Amino acid sequence: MSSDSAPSGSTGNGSRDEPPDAPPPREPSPVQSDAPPRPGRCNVLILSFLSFVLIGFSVWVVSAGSRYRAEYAQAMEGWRVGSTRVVELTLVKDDKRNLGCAADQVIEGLHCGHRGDLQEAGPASPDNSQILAPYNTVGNELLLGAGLWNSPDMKGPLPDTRFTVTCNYNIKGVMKSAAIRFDHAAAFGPVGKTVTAGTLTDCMIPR
Amino acid sequence: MKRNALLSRIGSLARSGWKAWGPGLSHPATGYLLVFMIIGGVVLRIQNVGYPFHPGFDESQWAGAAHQFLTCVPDTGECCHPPLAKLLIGVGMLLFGNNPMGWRFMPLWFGIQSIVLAFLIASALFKDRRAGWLAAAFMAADGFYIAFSRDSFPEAILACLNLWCLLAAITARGWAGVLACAVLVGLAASVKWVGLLVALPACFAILLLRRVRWYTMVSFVVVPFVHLAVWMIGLKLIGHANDPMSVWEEIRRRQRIHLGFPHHTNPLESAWYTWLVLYHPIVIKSAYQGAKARLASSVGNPLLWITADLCLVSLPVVGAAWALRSRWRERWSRWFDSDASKAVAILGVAWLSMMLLWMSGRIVTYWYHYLTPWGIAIILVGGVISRLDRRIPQAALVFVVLVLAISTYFAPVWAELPISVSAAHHRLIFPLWR
Repeated sequence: MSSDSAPSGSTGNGSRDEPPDAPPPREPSPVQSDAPPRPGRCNVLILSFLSFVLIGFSVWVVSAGSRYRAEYAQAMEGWRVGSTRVVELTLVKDDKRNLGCAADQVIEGLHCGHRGDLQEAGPASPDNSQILAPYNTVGNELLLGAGLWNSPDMKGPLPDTRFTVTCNYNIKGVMKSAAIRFDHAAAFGPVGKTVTAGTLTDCMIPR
Repeated sequence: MKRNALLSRIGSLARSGWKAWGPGLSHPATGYLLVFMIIGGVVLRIQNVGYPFHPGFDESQWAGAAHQFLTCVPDTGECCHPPLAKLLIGVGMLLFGNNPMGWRFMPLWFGIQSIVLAFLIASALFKDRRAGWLAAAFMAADGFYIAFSRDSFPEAILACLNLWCLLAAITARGWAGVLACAVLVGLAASVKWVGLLVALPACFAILLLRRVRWYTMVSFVVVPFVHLAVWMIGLKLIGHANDPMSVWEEIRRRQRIHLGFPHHTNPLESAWYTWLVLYHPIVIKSAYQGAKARLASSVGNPLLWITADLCLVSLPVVGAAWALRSRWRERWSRWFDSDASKAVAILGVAWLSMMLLWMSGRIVTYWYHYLTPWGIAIILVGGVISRLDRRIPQAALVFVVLVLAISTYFAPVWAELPISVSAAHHRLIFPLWR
């Protein structure tokens, strides 16, 4: 209790009503002094307010982050998971062995030929319909697709120059942290954006 | 009658508020000009900040990386720095979307804070409200800070966090204050590693001012933990391994990239000593509308620059004379009392500390690296002119008028106001300024 709250008529220490053999009055403790509170001490009210603001800000960041991802993560408008789109890919015949990706994510059994630590994820073969590889559409949209080289049209002789192929692309999911390469001897490089992953079926080279 | 009473009440409140918190300079006109400079500086920073609609200087790197952090994909946008600036720029993008306003909002927010911080630091150090108002007005009316407050680039954020560290160190009265300072050092270092150097002037201020016990500086052990925490959050967001060893590996990788940049290949490179003479400021944004150009040059206010250089050069000279000759000691004490002398020493050490990395020559240096030391120099100028105002008020008024006139002249090329190309070239008079 501060000295301000002592009853009137009493000093709070050594009043006239005390017996004569009472112990001598003690020095007033700093808490009882009338001096203003020491500057720099943590004010509980300010701390509570700051905590409240911090919690509110954190909640907002998390929810706004989810909204932002929903709005922007799907890089290509209209490309929704579960949908099928007709895509026109640009290729050269060496792409069959040159293209590859590395990631730990598995989407409905589809996976890259290499794991995130760049180790091979089992026996690699371009004819494996579960192994994803990066392809660019003629509109320069990047996608990860599997099964391209299993289509009958792709098993015959391929053009020596750059050609395009039209496929049905069944989008199974979105990969976040894939690394890709377009040359068998090159190092994998991170994509830096989300990429759709899915199966490529009914591929045909336009004649 | 009631309305008149209300108006007179508001008037008397405004007058008492102006008396209590206004600039309080010896010549009233100086105070009005300072208020005008601060309001003008804030307006220049905010107006049309979303223009141009395409990325300016290095904005594609930083905004691109911030977008990658927000969409949780690997950050390929920016190669070499810790993640905090990208995370903070991302907050603006959460507010306004992936567009120029979103990219530039947080640097703008920190840039405006720097004006307030200049006021608080100068007021606290010189124990004089006048010094605070002068420093804030000079910060507001300086093109270097205006331009970088309008660009999605980490330098304005770093400079602001460094000023926060200094303020925390100067105003610390106990463990909590020093701990707050240490946390801020950790955050500054998480924007760019050079932010770690602000710990030096912070410790110097704590020791010199003696407002807290020296051993409270043990709080600085939290700095690496704050830095680690920022890294762990950032790497977690982009799907990278974020245990301490992986963080260390990533730090080492980025450090190698940093130290591996070759000297003398980028035409924008400039040595630290050229910053003192405004040798090669950068135009960080440019756009053209018809015959009009809209430029954001980071050239500073030349008068403030010359004054700051004079203060910085004369400080060690006069300090040496002060130590050696009693006559100089007497002259010095006529201008600077004990508090002001400590303030000058702290700001001098702070400026030098923030220059150490650039002076070392270990990494490639650019004009914008001078932003933090320049903010400290502005505060020093504010303090020195406040002493001038005490002794020769007319001289302080003339100085402020000249600073305002020069800022008004340069404002179009600082804040992207439409201007003809020839008029822009008159302002950016040297080829290396364009």
